[in-house]
Amino acid sequence: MNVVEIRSLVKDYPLGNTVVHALRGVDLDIPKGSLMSIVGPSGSGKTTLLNIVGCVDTASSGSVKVGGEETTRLSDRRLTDLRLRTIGFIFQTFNLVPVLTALENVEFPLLLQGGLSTGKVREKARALLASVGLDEHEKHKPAELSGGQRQRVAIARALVTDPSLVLADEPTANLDSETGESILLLMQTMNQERGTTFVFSTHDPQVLRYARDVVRIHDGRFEGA
Amino acid sequence: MLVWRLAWRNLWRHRGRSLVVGGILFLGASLLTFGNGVVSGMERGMDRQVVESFTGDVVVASDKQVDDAVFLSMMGKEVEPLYHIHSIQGLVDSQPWVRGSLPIGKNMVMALHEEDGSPGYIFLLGVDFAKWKKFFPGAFKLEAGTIPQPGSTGIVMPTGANTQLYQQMGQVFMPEGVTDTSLLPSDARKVRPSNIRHEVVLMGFSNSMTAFDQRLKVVGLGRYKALNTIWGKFALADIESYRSVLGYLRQDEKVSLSPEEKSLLTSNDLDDLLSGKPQAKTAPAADSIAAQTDPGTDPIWNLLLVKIKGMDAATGARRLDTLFKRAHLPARAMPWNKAVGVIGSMAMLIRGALLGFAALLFVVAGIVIANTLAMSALERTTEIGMMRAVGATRTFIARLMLSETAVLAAAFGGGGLLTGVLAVALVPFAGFRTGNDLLQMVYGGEVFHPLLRAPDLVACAVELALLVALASLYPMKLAASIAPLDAMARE
Repeated sequence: MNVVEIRSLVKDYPLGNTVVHALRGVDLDIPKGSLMSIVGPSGSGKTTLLNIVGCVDTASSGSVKVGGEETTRLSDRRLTDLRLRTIGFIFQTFNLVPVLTALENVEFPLLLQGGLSTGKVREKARALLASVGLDEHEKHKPAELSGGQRQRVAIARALVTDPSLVLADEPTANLDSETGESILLLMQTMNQERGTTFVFSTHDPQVLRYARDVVRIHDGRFEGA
Repeated sequence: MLVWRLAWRNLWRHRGRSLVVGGILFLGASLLTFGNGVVSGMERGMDRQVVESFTGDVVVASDKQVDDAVFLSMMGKEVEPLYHIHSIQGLVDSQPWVRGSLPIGKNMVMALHEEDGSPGYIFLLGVDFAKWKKFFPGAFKLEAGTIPQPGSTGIVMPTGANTQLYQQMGQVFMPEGVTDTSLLPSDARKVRPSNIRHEVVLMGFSNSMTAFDQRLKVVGLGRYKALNTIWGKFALADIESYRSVLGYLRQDEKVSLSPEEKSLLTSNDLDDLLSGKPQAKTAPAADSIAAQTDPGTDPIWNLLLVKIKGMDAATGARRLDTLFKRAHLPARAMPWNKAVGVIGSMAMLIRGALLGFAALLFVVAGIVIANTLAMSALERTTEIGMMRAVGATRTFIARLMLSETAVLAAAFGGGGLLTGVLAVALVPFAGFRTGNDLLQMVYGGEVFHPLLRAPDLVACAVELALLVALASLYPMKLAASIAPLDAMARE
């Protein structure tokens, strides 16, 4: 069963009098439980692809199904709901809410979802924070954490809603190699333990060994496609 | 809960910006509260100085009266006689929202110089002194002489009337036996003793030229407690003397003349008068020589002053007008501010200026707050975009922005409100005084005395909430429109 199904996806950006073709008719299936890496140089279209799959950008044409839902036809409210319940995001620059503690950042999507008691929310967030090795830092604000610790918090936050899909856009780009590897290892572990589908983009061939499936992209097309 | 927690921490994190917006809210709220206090104090002052001292809330005049400004009419234009006073007053007093009513005479009269000097002009009020004092308790301070008792006649001179007559005639008027010139207005104290008079000859003048000369004894000297330089120009006479001066007679006081007698009285030939054989062929129309008479047998007045409760003067006037029309009574009502003409307009103007200032403050504060919040929203594009990416709705972001402003408004605006209240409470103790009538209107009396009542405070809080809501609209919209992609593009 595929978590994501992409057909003939095209994304064009107008740039002055010219048009930049970021994605030129891409087809891709991402099976449930995958640990997939999208590899390509800067400007190849990997971030655009993740943004469209993650429902933060729209396609110029083509079809994108996430969790069986055709996202190209959804309203802003439905897309927001899809992001909240089905997709987890890990950004390149470990975007956390600066005024919330590590624990509160993990709680944040759960509180947005509603439906759980405060105690349950706290319990779940604490468990996840412990699973990424930050149980002793739960009261620390993002500014008091290292880059690697912040990325771990971001992973815990992405997983807290039990999403079917976690998207990570160059999650190791701003980390030293040792910390980067530990983050990828953590994603690998989570994928194996929880069965969560992970898709991460990278331009670093060194990190490919952590992925089970690799898709190479160049100039908006998959290589070999 | 999450929104409030985020709002509070964001405000603390961006302390500098919070202080700027908070400072504006504090200043705006304190000025708004104090301004409202001044306006309320002024309204109370106007109420005390005009409504409760001179005019009542509503003034009823004849339906023939064209101008509204019956008290301070330009060039002393005649105020029409008000007929059927018993029916009119009966109808007015029967209304549950009427506190009381008082008929008065009011017109301009000429004071004749008995030694071929220039005449003087003053406003004359014809009153039943006992009822007038009861209707306007404490409004007039007698400084010498007496107030005429029921059945006796005389005129009471306020300082303003004496000033005016001194400037026009070179004479001042004091009760018999009073020689203390310090009771006179300062510029009239140098008057020669021969120009101090104890009687005044008044002649009313009206459109129908029916007035008479009347010699009146000056029985009292005094001043109005409020707005004396304005009301002081209104001398007070007993109503019977007033009617004589103005030539107002009732039907039952009218003398019927035969055509021959009328012809005789209008003859210019002294021989005719003595011989009783008038030569005039036709008698002139009777009303051209008759005094003004009430169509019924009621005494004639000019105005009925009405005090009301539970509604504003304009509403009261409208209601009375409806009642008069229904009852076919020849009267019309006007609110006090119209009846006092330019003074009422000036009061409204001052009030308007104060409210205009408050409105300007409101707009400027709103623009500055909106601008600061909008800048803040743009500065936080990454943070807001990230929240949107992980599932925060536009509504959540809008609520977050509104909550931040609401926290600031509650803390700083509330502080400003309290400061304004404190200032309103303390300012009267500073004892800022004025003798200027115009400033007295703003001051709410001789001493600057702003006033805040519970509804004023509620109004201030509502205005503040409105300011915050309006100022937050654009920043809220701006923040809610930030897309996750905007945050990523920033990187």
